[in-house]
Amino acid sequence: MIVPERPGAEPHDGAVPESYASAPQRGRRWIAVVGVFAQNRLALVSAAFLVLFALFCFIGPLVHSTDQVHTNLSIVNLQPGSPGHVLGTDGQGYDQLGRLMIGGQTSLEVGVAAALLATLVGALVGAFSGFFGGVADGVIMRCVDGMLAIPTVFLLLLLAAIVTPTKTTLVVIVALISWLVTARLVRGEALMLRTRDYVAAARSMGSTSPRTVLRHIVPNSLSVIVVNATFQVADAILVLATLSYLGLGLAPPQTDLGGMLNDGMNYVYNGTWWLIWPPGVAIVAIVVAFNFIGDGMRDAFEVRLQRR
Amino acid sequence: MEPLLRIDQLRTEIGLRHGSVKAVDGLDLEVFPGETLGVVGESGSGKTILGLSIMRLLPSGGRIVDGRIVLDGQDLVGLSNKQMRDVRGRSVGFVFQDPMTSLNPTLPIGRQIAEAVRLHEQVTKSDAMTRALDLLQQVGMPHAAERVNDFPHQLSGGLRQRVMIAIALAASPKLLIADEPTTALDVTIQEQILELVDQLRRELDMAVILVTHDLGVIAGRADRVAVMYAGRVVEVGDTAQLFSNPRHPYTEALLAALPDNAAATHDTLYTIPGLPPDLTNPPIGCRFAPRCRYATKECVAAYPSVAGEASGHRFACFHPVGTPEGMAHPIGSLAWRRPSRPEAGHQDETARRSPRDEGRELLMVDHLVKDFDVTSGAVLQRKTGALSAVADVSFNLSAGQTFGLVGESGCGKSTTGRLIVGLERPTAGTITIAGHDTAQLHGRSGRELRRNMQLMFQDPYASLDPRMSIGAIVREPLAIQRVGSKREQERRVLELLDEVGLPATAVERYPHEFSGGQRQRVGLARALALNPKLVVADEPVSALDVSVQAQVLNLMIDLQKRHELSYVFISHDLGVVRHVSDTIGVMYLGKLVEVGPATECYERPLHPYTKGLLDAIPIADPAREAAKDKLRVTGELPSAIHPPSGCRFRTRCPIAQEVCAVEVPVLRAPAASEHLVACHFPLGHEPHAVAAVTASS
Repeated sequence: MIVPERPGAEPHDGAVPESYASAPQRGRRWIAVVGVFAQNRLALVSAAFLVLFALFCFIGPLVHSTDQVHTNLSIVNLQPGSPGHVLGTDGQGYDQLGRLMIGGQTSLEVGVAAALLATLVGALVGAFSGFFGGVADGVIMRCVDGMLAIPTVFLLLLLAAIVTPTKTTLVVIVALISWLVTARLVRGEALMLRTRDYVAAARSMGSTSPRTVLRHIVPNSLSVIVVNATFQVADAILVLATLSYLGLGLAPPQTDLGGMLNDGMNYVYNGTWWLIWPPGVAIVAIVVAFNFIGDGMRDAFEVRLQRR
Repeated sequence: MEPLLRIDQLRTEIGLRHGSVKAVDGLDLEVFPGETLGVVGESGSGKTILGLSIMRLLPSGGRIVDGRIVLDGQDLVGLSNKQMRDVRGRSVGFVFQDPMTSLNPTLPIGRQIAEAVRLHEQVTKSDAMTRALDLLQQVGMPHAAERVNDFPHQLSGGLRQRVMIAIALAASPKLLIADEPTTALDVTIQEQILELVDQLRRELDMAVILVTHDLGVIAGRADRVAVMYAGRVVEVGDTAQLFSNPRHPYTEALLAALPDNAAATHDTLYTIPGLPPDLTNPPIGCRFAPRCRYATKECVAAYPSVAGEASGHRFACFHPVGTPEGMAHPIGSLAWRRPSRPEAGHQDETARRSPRDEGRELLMVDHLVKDFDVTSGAVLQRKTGALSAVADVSFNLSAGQTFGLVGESGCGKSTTGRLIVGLERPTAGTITIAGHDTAQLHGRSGRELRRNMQLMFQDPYASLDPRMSIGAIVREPLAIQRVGSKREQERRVLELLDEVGLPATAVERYPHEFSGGQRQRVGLARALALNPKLVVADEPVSALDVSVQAQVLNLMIDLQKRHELSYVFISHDLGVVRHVSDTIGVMYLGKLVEVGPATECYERPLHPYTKGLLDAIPIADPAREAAKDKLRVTGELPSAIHPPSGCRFRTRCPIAQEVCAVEVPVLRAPAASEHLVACHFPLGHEPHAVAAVTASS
């Protein structure tokens, strides 16, 4: 005989456990996130590639030690495979493989740092702007529109003319022009999310606005933010390359992948393919890898895809 | 008679990443020329996939695995896509549920209809437009000639659905499939659309498959009914016969779970325990067996064959209702109906119904007004008008009572609810809860005041943050209000989950892992976390299936008794409101037009709008549905930016007089002191007024 369902009809032993948020259960949540991420083959391969590339850039110089400070005009533009120079040398006599390592370091460092800074600022400004709406939103967004209207190259020229390019200033400069897009995207998301019932529920419980934004709006915009952040890393690396190309990048002997590409362009008619291909391929590979990782992250954070 | 459409052992599967859903699994059905076949079932029963299988418009991953769909002697399953295109529209018309998304927003409606005409007939553009205009007139579009160049966004939902029907009829199909054609519409508009479909069926002599979850819609309109459960038809038969003498336990339970059938009493509703089976791996035996109270070993072991009666009433059950086994425990018997918690027995019932203590008014709403500014311009937002959402609404509610707020969409009932919990600020008027004016809801003291009232939402999917675990969701009000330590809060969460009938293991799960009904329980637990005195429930059960709706309603009533809660229960469904409410308020376009005791309002409505609303609600009883002397509300809801002068209902009122346009009627009591109405000619109290209209018409 089946009993009609009543409140509390589902089986449980009646004894109410003391606390539920034990550490292993919290950990399971992250296992689920990683699990979904790992199902995406491309994202996994991309992540592996980036880890290897980072090891190559940061650990590589310890294994393959080269002089990347002093120019040596006696060994300019050596062919790949020359003794001691697997990838040959460039126009200043720097070992190309070693150059790729320090160039990669700069690109990764500046790219990731600028993207993080831009994402943080952009997400917060966008979330609050969209959540509050009205006049505050109007003013903030018109400012963003105004800045977006200035051509990026012009802005870069202006900024680079004022400050001396170091890694730190480059991070700030790149972040300064990148946060605008994130802010717009997150604001759009916030405009939609603020009408959701659970946001109304939080407000009706007396939740303050900052709390509502940080607990409900930002976490629910996470997929947009994360996916956009990966684009930002890729963009930042490209912007850095643009700056270097315009001669406004890091001063030699420092360099980045874009700077190497630019140096190689000077010798392009000499058939020195080894100056262009390695940094070029590296840039493309990094950009593509970050995009695949973004895809994987979006899926992983989508709670509905997590199975336990 | 030869059937127009015969479906034999149809199997449709929807492929997923892992496995596939057997959405329709061995279904037999016949549709005869000129008849209306009602297909009824809860969500997930496969009724929509059935319609889409006939049209072969399955979602991605969906395919017909086996079976035959014979339309007019032609098997549709074997046809190529090219041949199928010809069937769609020409032989079978399809009307989708949501008229908002099924029309192209960038094309005028006339062109969209003409496009459908030109797809099937070799006619010139101008001929097609002429035909489009004819079709618009045929589907009852007012001022069709002027409307033909309108865009979809310029039309209301009801008119858009008429356009959809016109498109479906463009090539004069022999069969019209209407998939929940009125679910997105208000009851008065639903009535109009159903009437239209019925009338067109007779005029064009076509067969109609009316797919719906609403037993009431079926009862009034269908000649025969097929009840679907878990991908199969469990019972099919003549409408009157099926409703009066259901043989399958599922049909019987579905009918018993309707609040209509327990409306007059506050009795616990009959509920179907459990959930429908997972169709990726359906059980071998009868699919309803795990939830069926007649089930035996036999039911689990094998699927029952379809048994039939001479009249064409067929059902798939080993122990059909009405046989000796079935008679042992009929649903109507007292033993079955008794509320499950003994403390919530009959004694409370009488206490609850006792005359109220006037001194204990918990909620007082006094001349409440809310206007929304209508602005234009992107940067400098100029005010160009005002939308009158709530206009002078007053009512009181005592502790432990339920006030039911009824009305169609756009009548201001939800805004009233949001005003009460302080999500919106009133333009004028006051709301007093437990002696405190809610206008003072600022800062810390305001936050404390908020503990007294909580909101429960309509959409169980949108009201829970998908990124928070159930534990965090239920704990949120405690965290916001800083009640107790973290450990105490976690204990309270477990208590609350227990109270709403969810297992303690739910705390670390996420909302998407729960069904609609379970989510609504979570919403209720969250609303109760702070021990509020008042819960404003905004359409808490409208998104749920009938059987689940009954579970949630029972729980709400049970909790009310235990905690002396007051509810403001907002719903468009009068049957549900009547079941839970002590007092009912009917709203129309921002005005409270009628207030009174629930039964009184329901049985002796004074306002013509209340009467129209009651008549438009389809009752799941063919006999009563047919016997209704309907007061039809015509036309559409006027704009709230420019509400009609005088009585706001006068533009749609069948008994309106000149005075109605001039003078705003005030709430008064023509008969019983507690039953108020805002009408110059309350029904049954101004016979000469009604007579005058009848004479003039």
